[in-house]
Amino acid sequence: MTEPDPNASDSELRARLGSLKSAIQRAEANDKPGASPAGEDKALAGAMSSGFRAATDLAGGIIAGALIGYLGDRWLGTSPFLLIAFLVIGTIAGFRSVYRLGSRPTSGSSGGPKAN
Amino acid sequence: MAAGGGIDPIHQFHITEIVALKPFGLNLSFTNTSLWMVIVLATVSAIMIYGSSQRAVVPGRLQSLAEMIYEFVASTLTGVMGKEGMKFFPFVFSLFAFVLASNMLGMIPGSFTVTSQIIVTAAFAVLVISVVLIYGIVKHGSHFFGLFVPSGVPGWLLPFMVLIEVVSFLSRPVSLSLRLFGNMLAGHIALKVFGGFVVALIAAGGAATIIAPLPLLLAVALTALEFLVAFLQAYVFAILTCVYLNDALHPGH
Repeated sequence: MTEPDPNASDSELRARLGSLKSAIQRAEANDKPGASPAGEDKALAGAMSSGFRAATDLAGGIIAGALIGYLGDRWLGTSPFLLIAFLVIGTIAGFRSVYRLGSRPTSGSSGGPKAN
Repeated sequence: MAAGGGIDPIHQFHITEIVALKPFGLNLSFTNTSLWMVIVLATVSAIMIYGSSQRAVVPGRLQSLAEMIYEFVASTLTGVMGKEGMKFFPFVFSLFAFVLASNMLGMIPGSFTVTSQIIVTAAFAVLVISVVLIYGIVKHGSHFFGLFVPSGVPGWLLPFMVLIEVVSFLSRPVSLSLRLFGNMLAGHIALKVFGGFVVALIAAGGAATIIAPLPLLLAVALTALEFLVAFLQAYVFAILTCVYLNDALHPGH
């Protein structure tokens, strides 16, 4: 049944056209970023990955800020001030990462466009 | 209680030198970490080479495993970055396979978990961020730095927001390496501690021996949880690599 039958009925051809169309649609949906073939276990993994992300993004921001401040202090000799300033900035950055994570639609594993 | 009973939960992370190499004052010794990295690499290579060498229409066990990993990474990648992200497929696949294999091999009792060393995970994170930076700058030039300028912010707040965005970007390798390292370290310590409880309770004798199976049950449950975490952390690492690479691919969204 590879060759289309010349005397196939209209309704058969229409059904074939419909199935091909849906196949094309599926292929196109896979092409687009942000679209994920959402499986059941994949949704769970996506949800847990978001959780792990939120937890460590906050800590990561604070630690990165502290590190930048500490190294800047050692470099410029302005002992506690840069550390304090960057600790605050790092904390804000951490909260901002978590906020951005929460404000974006999380369907399964979608990274999606950034919601700035 | 068995105080000083010799159950040290940290001992499993000690790095020992197998072949001492110290040329020019650099410590380049072949340690147990290096040995396990070689084992991980050999395992992944064996699975992928053997799995892809057969090309049967009806795949055998190893071939279907190799195909499963491939399709999983490919769908994760295209889900985040679209079809053009496939140029990063070898990079993401290598990272995912290495992290997954070292997490899983680390679950074998008596083995060494490579990803529980922060220097290993930090090296991965620095590699990922370097690729993002270099690719973004080469591909988009100064337009890449539009990533640090959020839109729709009043002008007087902009310098502050740019500073926050830069720190936020710099915190990515920190959180990326910390997440994997922390989960693996904590899981293995917890397993060891609960295993140690069983030994300590039995050694205490008397009534304490009766409740000794309780931490054993918990250790069994924790082992199952650890397998889940071992897989999930590899997945999270791969998907975050995709998300960061997506910023390099399409900056300024």
